[in-house]
Amino acid sequence: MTARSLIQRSCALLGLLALSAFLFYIGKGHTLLVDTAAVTIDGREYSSAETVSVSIDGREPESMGRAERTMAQVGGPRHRITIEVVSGGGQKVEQRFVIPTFLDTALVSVPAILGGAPRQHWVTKFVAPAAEDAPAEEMQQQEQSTVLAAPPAIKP
Amino acid sequence: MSSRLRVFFIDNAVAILILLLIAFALPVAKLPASFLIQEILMRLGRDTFLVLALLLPIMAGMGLNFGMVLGAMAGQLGLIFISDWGIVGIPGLLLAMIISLPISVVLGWMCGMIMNRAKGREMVTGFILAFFMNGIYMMIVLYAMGSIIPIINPELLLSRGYGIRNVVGLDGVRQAFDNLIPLHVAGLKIPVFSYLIIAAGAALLIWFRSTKLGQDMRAVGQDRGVSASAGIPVERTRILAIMISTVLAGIGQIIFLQNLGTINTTSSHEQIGMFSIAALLIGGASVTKASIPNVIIGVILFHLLFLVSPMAGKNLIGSGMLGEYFRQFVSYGVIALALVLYEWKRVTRENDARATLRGGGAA
Amino acid sequence: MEAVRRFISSFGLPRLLITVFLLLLFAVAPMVGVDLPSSLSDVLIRVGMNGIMVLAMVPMIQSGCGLNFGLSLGVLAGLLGSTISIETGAVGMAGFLTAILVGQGFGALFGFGYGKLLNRVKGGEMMIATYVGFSSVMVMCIAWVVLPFKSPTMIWGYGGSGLRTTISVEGFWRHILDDFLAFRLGQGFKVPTGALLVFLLVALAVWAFFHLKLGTAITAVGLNPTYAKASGININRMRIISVMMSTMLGALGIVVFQQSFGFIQLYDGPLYMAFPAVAAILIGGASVNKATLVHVIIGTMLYQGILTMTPEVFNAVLKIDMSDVIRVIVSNGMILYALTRTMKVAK
Repeated sequence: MTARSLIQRSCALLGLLALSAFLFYIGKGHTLLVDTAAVTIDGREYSSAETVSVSIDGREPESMGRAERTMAQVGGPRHRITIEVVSGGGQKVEQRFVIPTFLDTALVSVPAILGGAPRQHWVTKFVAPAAEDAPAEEMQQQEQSTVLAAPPAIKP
Repeated sequence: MSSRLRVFFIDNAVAILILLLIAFALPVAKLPASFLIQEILMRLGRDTFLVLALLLPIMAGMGLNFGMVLGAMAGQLGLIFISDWGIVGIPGLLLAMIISLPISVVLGWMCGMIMNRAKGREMVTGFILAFFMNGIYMMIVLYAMGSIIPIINPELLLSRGYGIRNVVGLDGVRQAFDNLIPLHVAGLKIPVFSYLIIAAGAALLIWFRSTKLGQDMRAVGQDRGVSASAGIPVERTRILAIMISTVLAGIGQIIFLQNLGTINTTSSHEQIGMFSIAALLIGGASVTKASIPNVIIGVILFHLLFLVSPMAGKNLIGSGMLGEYFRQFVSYGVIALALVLYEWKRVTRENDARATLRGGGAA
Repeated sequence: MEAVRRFISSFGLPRLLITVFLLLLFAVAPMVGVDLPSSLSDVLIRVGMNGIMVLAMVPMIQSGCGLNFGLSLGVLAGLLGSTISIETGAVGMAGFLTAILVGQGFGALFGFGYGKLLNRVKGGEMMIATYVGFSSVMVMCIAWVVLPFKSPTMIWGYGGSGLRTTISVEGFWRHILDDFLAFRLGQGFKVPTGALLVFLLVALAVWAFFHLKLGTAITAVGLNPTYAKASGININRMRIISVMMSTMLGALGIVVFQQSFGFIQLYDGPLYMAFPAVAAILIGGASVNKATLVHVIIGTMLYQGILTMTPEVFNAVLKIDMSDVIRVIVSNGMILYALTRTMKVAK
């Protein structure tokens, strides 16, 4: 193998590795839990309106009440959320946020965004409470059932 | 019948037979045209790339590459990993392809090496190698993954804690290629991007044929001895043909699976070799000669038969199973027929050559 | 060192590995609580079950037709014999013999056609054998549904037509050979004398045949076709005879298999039946163009030994059942080895 072809092949290999890292970054899927429950940040309480219409990345907007949670499957780090207050006031907020690559499930707080809380509280890591282990266990037991790489979008 | 016509019929016996079968079964099946056309359009996008992968080994004189299954396995491994890591959409598919690349290359290299050791019986060897590698693949997927090979997402594993589940859903990347450039015409959905990839693959193959390596392959396919004396590295060229074929099969399997939306860990790849080869042969290719029109025509005809047989069987005899058995018979029979035609011609050619050598002297 | 190397190269490395592996399994078995006598008994039963089908490989290997991947044709003939025998309602030895004889008839017929086909495609027999075998199984699938069988033990219940996928031979000729002169040694070690006797008898018959004039002619055709032709032997005829023998042995083999297994398996049952037989004879030391009785017996014992012992030992030790995967790797690996080895010798 000549020096030149060695360099060529090494460059190609590095290129592929860089491409792979890039693809990983822009393709990493996340589960967004969009939540309208009231939150307390730095002592101040933020709450949502009676009814809001929420849309992620320009998708079909969903109507949500005061303390609801919906799930959305997204890919990549950058997203935008559009919140429109339907129940009164006509307030419309559109914001962009970034999800860290290795955060699988993120909690997006509608009240925080709506109320203008500091950015770092908009999207937080979702920690499943211990009680929720039961449904996951059921899934583990059914060997034949379809396993999904990311759970489907469900509306509670 | 004139001699030219006879030769035409023998050369294209398989395609003609299938056409007749379809012509017969089509009206009997009573399936709506729109359904058939939509299905064919979809399946063209799904399966064509896999059949393209078979072209190079035929050109290089190695016959029908049953070893393409190895590439399919590599593609599947790629998809399993991106599913595990949660990579979605087009990046997910691209990453799966990149992951499958080194695996395909190694497997293809190994396959080529083994086939070089079994010159003259590359097809049987590839055929058995596919089964053998299936065993190794199972060992990796059912035992090593989750134990020795780290799997992050526990939902992909069997309940015993290691080994990938029987069915892996590809919801994150489902139809990512198909839907990238959506086109709806007259109520039909057309997977434009998939077609583009296939066109790119075909264009790549056409370009490849004009390169030095491509020419070498063709020469090796025609005559190993002459090529060797012309200075072409015969063994290496053959291995490269198989390697490229395996890589293409890996990509093709990823396209195939993104359309299906699920991976059946143990069986998605098993019949791929046979179906792709049968389709290619139905399209008019032979063990020694195959072109891109063969690929496209073959996929269309093969799937028409696939769609039409069960219904025809049901309407004709009252049993859908019969139509299904008939279709399988045709798939196997087509390959058997193509092989027989190939060997028969080869034997006749050798006998004729021997006769001319002996000339008019003592026979 | 040199002697060892020579031994390895003549015995074959894969073969050596497999034998060592099997001996290890036997050695480990009692230590992990596997009941050795019953396992050995299982191995013997399986040898009796499969032996004749492995034997069926010999004629075609010897005549130069290669490994008979198309054994399914013989199996189909035997299946026709078995189903027809059950249709007639014959039980016991009468039923068993009917199955065998009818199977032989079909076997001869199929073998003849198959042989004629193979004669036209000298050099490419193995691949064609595989796909002719597959296609025939599919044709028979259609036949099993369509043929006018009436016996209630065989057709689908509730007034259906067409044969079931699995048909029990219980009450007909189940274990008729296995139990013949069977004896027990201690607890759990049962020897299926009948089946083993039949296997040995048929094997001896084949051995004797190959030492007769016709048999040596066939071997000559395989070893050196030019010499055979010069000696006045009709190559094509010898090949057809060898193919017919192989197919008929396959037909016999499946009936013997069924009496031990207890079921007739139709539809895609026969699809892959050739492969274990091919692997077994190769493990026994045969190559693509040479096979002897010793290869058959040793091969069947080794192969069935591995098939039996691996799941038992692995389950006991690791609590995992890798037997299926190991079976696939071992048998196909063996065939692969045989396919790639020939070239060196031929060179």
